[in-house]
Amino acid sequence: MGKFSLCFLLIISLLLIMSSSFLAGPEIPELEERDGVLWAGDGWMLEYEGLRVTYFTGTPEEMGIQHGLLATDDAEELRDTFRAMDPAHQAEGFGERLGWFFKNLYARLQFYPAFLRHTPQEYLDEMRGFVLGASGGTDRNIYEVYMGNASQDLQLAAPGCSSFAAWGDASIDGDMYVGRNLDHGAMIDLAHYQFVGFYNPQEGYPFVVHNYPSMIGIMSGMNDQGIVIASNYSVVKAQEMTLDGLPYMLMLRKALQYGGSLEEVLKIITETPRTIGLNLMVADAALGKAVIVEASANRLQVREADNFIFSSNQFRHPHMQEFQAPGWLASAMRDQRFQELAEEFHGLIDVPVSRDIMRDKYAEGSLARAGFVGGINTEVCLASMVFAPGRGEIWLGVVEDNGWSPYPADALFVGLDAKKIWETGKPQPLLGTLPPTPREGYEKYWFKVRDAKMHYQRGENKEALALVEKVLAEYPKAESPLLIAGRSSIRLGQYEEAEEYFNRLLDREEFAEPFNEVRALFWDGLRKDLKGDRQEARRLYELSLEVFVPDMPEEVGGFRDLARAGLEQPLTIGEDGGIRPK
Amino acid sequence: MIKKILIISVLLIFLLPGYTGAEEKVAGQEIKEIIITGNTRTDEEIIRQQLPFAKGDLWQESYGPWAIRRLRELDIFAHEPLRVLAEPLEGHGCRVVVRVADPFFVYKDPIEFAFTTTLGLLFRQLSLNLYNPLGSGQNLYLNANWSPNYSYGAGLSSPLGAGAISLQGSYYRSDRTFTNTAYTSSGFRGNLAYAYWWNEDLRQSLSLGYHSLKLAGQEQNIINPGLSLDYGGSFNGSLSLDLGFPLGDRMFWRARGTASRSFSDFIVVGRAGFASAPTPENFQFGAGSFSSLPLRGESNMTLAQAYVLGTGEYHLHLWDMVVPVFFLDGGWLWEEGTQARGIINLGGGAAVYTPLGIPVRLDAAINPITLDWNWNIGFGHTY
Repeated sequence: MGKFSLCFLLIISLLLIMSSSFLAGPEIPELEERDGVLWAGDGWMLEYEGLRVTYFTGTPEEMGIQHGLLATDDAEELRDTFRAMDPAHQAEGFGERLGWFFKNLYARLQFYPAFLRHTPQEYLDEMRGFVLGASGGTDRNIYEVYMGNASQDLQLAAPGCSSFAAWGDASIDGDMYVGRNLDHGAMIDLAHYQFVGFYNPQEGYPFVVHNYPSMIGIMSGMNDQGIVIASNYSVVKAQEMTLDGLPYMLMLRKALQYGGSLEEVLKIITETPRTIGLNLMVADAALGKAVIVEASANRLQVREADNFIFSSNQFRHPHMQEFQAPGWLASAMRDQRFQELAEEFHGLIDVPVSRDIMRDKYAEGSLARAGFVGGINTEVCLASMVFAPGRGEIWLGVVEDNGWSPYPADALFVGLDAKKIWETGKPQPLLGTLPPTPREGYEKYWFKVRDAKMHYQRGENKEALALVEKVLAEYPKAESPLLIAGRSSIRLGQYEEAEEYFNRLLDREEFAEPFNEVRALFWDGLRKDLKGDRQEARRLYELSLEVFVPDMPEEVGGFRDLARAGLEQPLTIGEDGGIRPK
Repeated sequence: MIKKILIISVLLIFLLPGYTGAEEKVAGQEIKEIIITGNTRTDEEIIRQQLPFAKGDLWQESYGPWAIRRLRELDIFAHEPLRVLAEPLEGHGCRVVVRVADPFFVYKDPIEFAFTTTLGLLFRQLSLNLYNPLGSGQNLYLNANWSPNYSYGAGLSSPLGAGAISLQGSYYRSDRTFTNTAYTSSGFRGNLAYAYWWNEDLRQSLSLGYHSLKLAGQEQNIINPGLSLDYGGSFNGSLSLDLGFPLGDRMFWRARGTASRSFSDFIVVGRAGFASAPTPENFQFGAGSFSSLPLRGESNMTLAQAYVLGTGEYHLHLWDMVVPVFFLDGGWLWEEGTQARGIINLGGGAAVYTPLGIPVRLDAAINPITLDWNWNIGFGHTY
């Protein structure tokens, strides 16, 4: 063998050794159960009252592997759930599939490389670890997991999410309390996958998050420095959004992991190339202050308050209001209710009261309560939680897998001692539990209305109607049930019954939710159009356009546009359920 | 066609929202913070030196569009997002946010890249750009056209102070046929240019070209310095003057200008140019047809030493997507050694707006005196 051949063989052997060690990747630990705790290396998982609690520690990749092994029992089922929420996987017919093929190709060539450029390497490593852990070491491709973490930047949901913070004079002991409901209708099927994840990273501060498997980014969390971060959407005008930035959940993860004070968190958020409009609750227990960061991709303002601050989906800072997208934000009533609750519970706020605020159903005797109007607590609530960051406590509503709205704010709450878990790295006894809402009296009917709304939103009109008829037997003038009954009846072609519901609905001096009046007038107009009474239909469309809705920044979009179209020509309901000109 | 593709690219850049105009509320406030964000490859200092303001200055409304135009001139950032805006800080003062995005190394948008590359290949042309690979602001351009009128070229651009410098060179061959003449040229041409925005409306470009070629068999070596000013305020206008120094021959010069203004749906454009007597043919002006000196009823271009041309175009906005268009092109051309020739063309057509915002234009026009007529389909407006 000549010298050249020998050198060639040596080089090839070296390359093979290097590539095999690269492809081998990190070791995936065996799952081991000890004393009821499932261990994966130094990470563990334990269920408390049905709530999955996990602990991840080590390098980013090691934490990702632990996450992949411990956060879900069935990675394939989880993947199917995510795919069921992805419109690309629901496409039917050649044309629609082809359309999604090109959209996905564009996402892979344009959005994904842009996201990657802005993403810290440690989060990419953690995603790779998750994929390795969840796949048992057979897969390393992070594309699908990454796009899941960016899905909310790519496709915004309807308004939802509420949060508040109380401290100083507002709370019972001067400590900081943060209540937070995570609402997201499109993600409702993920609800029962929720887990609490404790992180002890090699860099940054230990922290705890409420999350779903495969999410490396966060929507709600607390770190050991007493910082709490929680996010709400706030939809902004098109020029205030971009997909060339760091997906917002990863930005919040970075802020929670590396923000040791309010100032540091604000600096991270301000300097991050952001993507979408957000209202971010940032609370600093050590400083005794919480703020709402109102931000778009390019602009940011910090809203402050004395000892109680709250957030829904609308901007309240005058500068940011200029950039709010048109359309109904479903926020005015929630904001008003937070103000009422701040006064009602001033000086009394603790964990149970915070929980009560998040499961609120409006004040006794109020128009909104009598009307079963949606508010802080909604049927699309995925998760409800309370943080006491000064003491390092997190309390979370335990979601039942009932295949329907999980109503976490009304569920059993369990309290976790984050401080001790961070200190020991081991499972700790529960701090306690708070009981669920009894389903009796008014509450029994409140759940029926919310269930009916879910049925209606899924196009199950018969089921929706059957439920609200039971409510209306007890509360014949109730605003929301009448609206659901009227709309369901129209969709079922029962125009006589619909007329009766709308007559009852519109025969009132005041609506609790002004947008319900817009909807009622519009739908009654549509009913007239469907019956051929054009003159009356036009009159009702005109009336719907005259209603003042405080949380509708510009008089365009949705029902407003449909009502304007209805003034021009008759409207009808298409086979797909969409309302359009005849 | 390639020129049209370039026009589309330029239009795309200018059609995208950049400056939202909500900055007047902070006008006059002290700049307390400057946040530069979104640059993952580009050195922050490259961006900072394009900014016409610094910390401690008082914010002016014009700073936003001015900075954006300087940043765009570098051609190193993605189309979106590119923002320079100011927002109030609690108490007093303002924060300026400079938001940029580094593109992928070889494209700014995959659809645009696929479209222009496919079209280019259909016309035997391939253009490749390498955007700012080192993060220090330099772009590399390569272009190959292997048709009978071939061209092989390369270019390099770089930030220089608050402006941008570029160097381009190409070997080429060109057969050109006009109504009144035809010529063949081949050889090398190179150009060094420096662009600088004096304010948000006024751009100045200095250039120095070198041409070494054969024109109809005769050797030509010309040094060609030039100056051009482009204005984009209450009206759009450009003026340019360039000189030619043929080695061993008499100097020549050219001057030309364009001004345009929109009055709602009516657009008026005026153009004039003059080339001195010994100007070689390949430095004279080509006017007519759907060229940059449009006479859209003429089927052939005319080689002119001077021109005064005007265009009036009316867009009838009856529908959102399809806009009927009526236009009139006219003026005078001075061909070498002849009297002025007056030309008038009348035409009409439609602009069909695509989702990208770029219209597809279908036009036909006629010379009512000679009855010569012509039609064209293409992207973007001709005016």
